[in-house]
Amino acid sequence: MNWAFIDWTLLAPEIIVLITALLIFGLDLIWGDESERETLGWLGILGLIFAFYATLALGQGGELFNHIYVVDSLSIFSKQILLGIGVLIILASLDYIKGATKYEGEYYGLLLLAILAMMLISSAAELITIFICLEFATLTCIILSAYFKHEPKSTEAGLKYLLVGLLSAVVLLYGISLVYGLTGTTTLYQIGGSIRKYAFQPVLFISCIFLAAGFGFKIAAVPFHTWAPDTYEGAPTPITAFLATASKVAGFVILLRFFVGGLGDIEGHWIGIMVTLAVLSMSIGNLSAIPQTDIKRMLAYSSIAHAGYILIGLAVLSRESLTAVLFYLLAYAAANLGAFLVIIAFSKWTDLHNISDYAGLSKRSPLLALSMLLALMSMAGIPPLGGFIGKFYIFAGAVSEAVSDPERLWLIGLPVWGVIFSIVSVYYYFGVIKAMYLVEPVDTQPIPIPVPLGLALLIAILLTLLIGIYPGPFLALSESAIQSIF
Amino acid sequence: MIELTAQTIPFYILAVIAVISALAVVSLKNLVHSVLFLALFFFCMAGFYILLKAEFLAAVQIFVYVGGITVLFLFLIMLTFKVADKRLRQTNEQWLIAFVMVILFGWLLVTGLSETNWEIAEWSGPEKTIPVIGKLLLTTYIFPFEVVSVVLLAALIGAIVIARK
Amino acid sequence: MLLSSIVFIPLLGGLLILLMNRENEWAIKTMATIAAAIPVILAGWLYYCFDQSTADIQFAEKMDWIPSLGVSYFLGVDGLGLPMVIVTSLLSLVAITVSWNIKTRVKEYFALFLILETGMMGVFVALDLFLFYIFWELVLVPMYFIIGVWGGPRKEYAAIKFIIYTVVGSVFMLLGFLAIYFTSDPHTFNIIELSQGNQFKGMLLFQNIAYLALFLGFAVKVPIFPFHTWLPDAHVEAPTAGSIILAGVLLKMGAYGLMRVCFPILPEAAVYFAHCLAGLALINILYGAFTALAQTDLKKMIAYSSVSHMGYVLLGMSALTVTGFNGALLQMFNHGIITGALFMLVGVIYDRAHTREIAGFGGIGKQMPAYTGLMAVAVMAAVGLPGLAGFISELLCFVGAFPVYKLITSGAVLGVLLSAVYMLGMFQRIFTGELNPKWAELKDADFREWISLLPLMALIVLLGFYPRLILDVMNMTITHLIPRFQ
Repeated sequence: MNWAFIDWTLLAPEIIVLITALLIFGLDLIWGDESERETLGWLGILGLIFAFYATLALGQGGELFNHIYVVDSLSIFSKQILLGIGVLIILASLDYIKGATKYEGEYYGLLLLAILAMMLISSAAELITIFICLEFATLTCIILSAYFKHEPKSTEAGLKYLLVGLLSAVVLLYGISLVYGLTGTTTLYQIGGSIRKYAFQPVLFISCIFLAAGFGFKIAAVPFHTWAPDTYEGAPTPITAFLATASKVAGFVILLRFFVGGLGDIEGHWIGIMVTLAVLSMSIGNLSAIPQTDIKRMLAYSSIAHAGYILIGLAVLSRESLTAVLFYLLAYAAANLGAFLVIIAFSKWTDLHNISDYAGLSKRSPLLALSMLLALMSMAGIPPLGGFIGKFYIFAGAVSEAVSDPERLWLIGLPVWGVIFSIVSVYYYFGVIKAMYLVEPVDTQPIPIPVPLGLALLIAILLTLLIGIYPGPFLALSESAIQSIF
Repeated sequence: MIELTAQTIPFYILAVIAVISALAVVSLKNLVHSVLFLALFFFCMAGFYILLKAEFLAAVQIFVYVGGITVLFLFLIMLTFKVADKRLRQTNEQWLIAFVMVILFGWLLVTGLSETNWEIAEWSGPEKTIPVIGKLLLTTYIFPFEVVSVVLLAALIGAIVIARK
Repeated sequence: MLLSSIVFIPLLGGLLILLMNRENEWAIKTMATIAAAIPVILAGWLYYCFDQSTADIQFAEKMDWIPSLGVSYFLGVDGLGLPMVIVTSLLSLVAITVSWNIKTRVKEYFALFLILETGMMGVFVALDLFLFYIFWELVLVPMYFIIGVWGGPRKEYAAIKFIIYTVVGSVFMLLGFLAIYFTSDPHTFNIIELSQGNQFKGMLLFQNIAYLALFLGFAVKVPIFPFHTWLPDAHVEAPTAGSIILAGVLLKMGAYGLMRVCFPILPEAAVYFAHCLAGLALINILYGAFTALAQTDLKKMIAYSSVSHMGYVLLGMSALTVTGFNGALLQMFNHGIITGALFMLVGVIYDRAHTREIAGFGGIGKQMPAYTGLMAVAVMAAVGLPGLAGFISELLCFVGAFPVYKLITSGAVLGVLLSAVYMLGMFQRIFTGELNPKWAELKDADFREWISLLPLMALIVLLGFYPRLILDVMNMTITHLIPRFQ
């Protein structure tokens, strides 16, 4: 290998994030003073913004180390979302984490490393690298979930994530070994090329199941979702928001890269798996969300359901539907962050987590209530918000394929199933809206919004509105992103 | 399906021992016994590597897993909580479901694996594996190799944060 | 720009109200009244400028909105839309003047009401299926809050029931829209293009499936038996202004959807299902009338009478004749103003007596002579007394339907008889006989109530004598529409 030919600028965003993280760890050691810790958070934000700026300069991208690491429009798109999520999460954490733990500096450093891990996932195109990056992300997320180690629930969150994460890692590794045994290579583009000559391979089908299990853990698709409710409930809320958005984005990108990009020509092996995961996630996610009383658990189940809707896009496998997958992720991330930011502000002030505790929020803090209303309506798919266009586009992709190809008419079942369960979701989302607006508050004390969190909330909600009212540019962005693999 | 040759007989022996010891790890009531069987299991893994002519990996397996991790486990068990002589119940109410799932899974695997045309490669690798591994790690797989170092850093800091009072 | 102004001036007013000081209730109410009055003036101007000699779309505005989805911002009116625009603007203004006595959360109330008006208005002028759907759903959330926050004792139940029923219908409608879009060639959401060419000629199965999907959405809104059960709950719990809008405009959205989307785009399915629709119309008429007969609550009685009267609309439409369609559309207009007036009158007496039990009143006629006079006009119009608005449209519906469905129409005439029984029975029990001493203190209608009722009363009388004011507007459009069903 000739090192001179490696274009290191392609790694610029990752390197910037890594250096920022190391800088934070180092400065944390040097600065003893409590009050300076917040500066580390701002330093993290600065690093992420620089990295975001670096992604803009990547242009057409390229590949590194013989297709082990690819920088294409898909990975750039995903990195930009991840960096954006990172900025909002740190903004929301600044006030939340202050005084809640002794290890404030390490919190920001580990958060940056988690973002780095997910950025690596979006570019990894070789199975060993994918595995290592996935484990990197899992490891950092475990630590962050269990960060409030004196709270049993936080420890439980970390432990659940650890156990299910290990199981999925083992299954993933088994799948990888089978693929390697079958093809003799671990690089995705070679795998695609070498398998093309076979017809249906039972082993390939099995390894697809295993790999889907490994990736399904990241996106919390049923039946690999069992960690999500407990971890979402117990983890520090900014970390929950991070898991619900960034982890899902990274998981879907790797799902797209492996199945669509790598095995796109032998889709018969894995379409059925996606359909099964989609149907199970939509139904079990939505139905389990109804009886929840804890708002974070409710959102956990709703995020499982959203994974189901997005999986429809993979099962349909057309240009429109895959574009819809990316677009939906964007809209979902904005709305979900909006909802979680409200929860962060609310729970920091009141230390309450039940839906019924949100009674009368519209009187205590009209802005928080309005933000939550818009976020929930977007997730419920009510126009003219981002979530509606996302659902519309996903369902439109499925209907389009079903109508145009008589042999795939069965695809119409997926959007029908989807709309039935989005009706169910309207019911539980409106449970929160009811509490906020129709019920009188028990405690009428107003809730203050810290300035950085307010800024993050404003960005998330404006984005949700903008994606809904003027989706054109976002659709164009998603479409150009998907062109690198399909 | 099962052919007995000079190459396969040691494999089957090792495989049987590995499965039994793995089962023992998750079913014995005494923690120390479990750990000892875990060590035996790791030995069997090393045996597989030798059968595959990967002597270096076999040595690493024994050094790291048996010499390092298992001993660490033993230390932990002996030194904390006095769990050494405690009786543990390693099953819960869901064992039946798990059992059914395992059987299904096993059936799927066995049928899948046996119905596939594996292209069995003749051994053509180098006699000395260490230099090849070293070279691969620092050329082709330099990227994951470097990522691992960052993973270790994160794990280190994480362990300190979680464990320190 | 005229149509955009009519649609968005209320929204603008609503947003301005959100920025106003909560304490200054008078300014908020004035602002709301002005924002609702401007569309009335503009609608009058629209009526004046409308060319009655053509069936073409007038005042069209078209802009690309989401090009990659083929969605455009396309507004326009023809003979179908214009009457509905007029009735919507008028009833919205009336509803807002009625609401001057709202005491809780004044700011939110008027802001929501104006957003609601934008949604309703948009439905009647949108000529792009996607845009139509956005406006259709925009109505949902404000109405939820109007029922849920300012409603009666069981408001939360009624509000969520309203949402769930409507969403169930509308998501299937959305799937229908998608199927139409992807089957049309070239793909388009443009309602006019879809209803002028013969896009789906001979595709009876497709037309029938799409028709059923759309029908579900519209049937819930009309409401057609057996999807009507949300209506009595919503009406009884909603505040007076909410009931006026529900009965006067929201129900018409369903019937208008059938006329605008279902029938012209899917003409073969419309013919195929015409008998079923006529049968459902008969059930609506008789079921609504019999149930109204059994009600003891005044508001519930009028709610069920709405179900019955919307049956006439369906009957007129199902005949697929010019006379029947004219009757149906005129009945929609008339029912809007008559029921609006009735609900308002109920509100007037409820404000004073705080009960709506018919049996609890008696002899009010002597106590409130002016009020009784107004009520008499509205009741007579609802019964279908010649010389008042209701008579002409009901007659046209029957005349249009009789040649096609002799038996069903004969049965439907029974509904008129029944309506006389329950309406006059109610009138007699409340206004004649001995004055219940409990009500000796009741005051007669005041100035504000007169002001808001007079325009409706005037229209009822005027259209009773000269229905061509509206009939001429719609005649050309309908004459051009009917040949599609031959």
